[in-house]
Amino acid sequence: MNFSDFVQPQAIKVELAAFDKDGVIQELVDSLVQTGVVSEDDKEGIIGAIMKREELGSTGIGRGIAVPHTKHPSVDKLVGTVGVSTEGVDFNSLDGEKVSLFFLLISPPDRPGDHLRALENISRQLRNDTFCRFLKQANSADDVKQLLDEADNNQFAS
Amino acid sequence: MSNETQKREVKVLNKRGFHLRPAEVFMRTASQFESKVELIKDAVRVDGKSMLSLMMLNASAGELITIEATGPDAEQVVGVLEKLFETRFDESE
Repeated sequence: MNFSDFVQPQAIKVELAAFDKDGVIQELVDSLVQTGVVSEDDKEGIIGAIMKREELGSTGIGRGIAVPHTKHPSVDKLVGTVGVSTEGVDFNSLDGEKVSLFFLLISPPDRPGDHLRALENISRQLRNDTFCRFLKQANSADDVKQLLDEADNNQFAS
Repeated sequence: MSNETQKREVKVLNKRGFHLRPAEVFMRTASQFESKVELIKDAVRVDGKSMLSLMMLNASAGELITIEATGPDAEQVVGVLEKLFETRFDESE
């Protein structure tokens, strides 16, 4: 699976305004609503479900990366977006570090395989330190999109 | 101290596969032991003590994974980790 299979380019956010976990999740889901892949009516339900998942254990996996996610019946394919926080956000990460790079995923309830493939793609690409650093330094959504495209073309393959 | 290698083949019983939460439980548990721990599925071999590495495994329900541990407590760690797979990492399905 590639980033272009699930990341909605119009929903990519850099310089996130939010400074806490709640705020970042709201901001990123809002961004997906604005692109039309998620309806306004489902917004609160999705945010609630993502927060509930976070209560089971933070999706902050370390190295400044988090993958907040949920399954939700309102989507019929895996959708996601990317957020970058300049300051970093306290996310109760596994390593205690602030998170500056977010990959938010919403998957249909009956497609666990797609979710696993997205996690595989994200982790495989982010293991490349250069790609990870460039993403964290991106200062426009276009920059992020370009980096994701380059990753999809294996330009960061290690 | 011996540096023996122990292997154990396990099946993913969780309905949603070896997703983020099982991976975290695995990583936390493996990290309590001294031995090097790796998970192997087909041609993919990942570090059992690194989240980013474990997320690369992409193992769905029903798939077989080999746990490989090398070090002084290898025997013990493969036993504990095998149990995690057998008990679905404490998930209900």
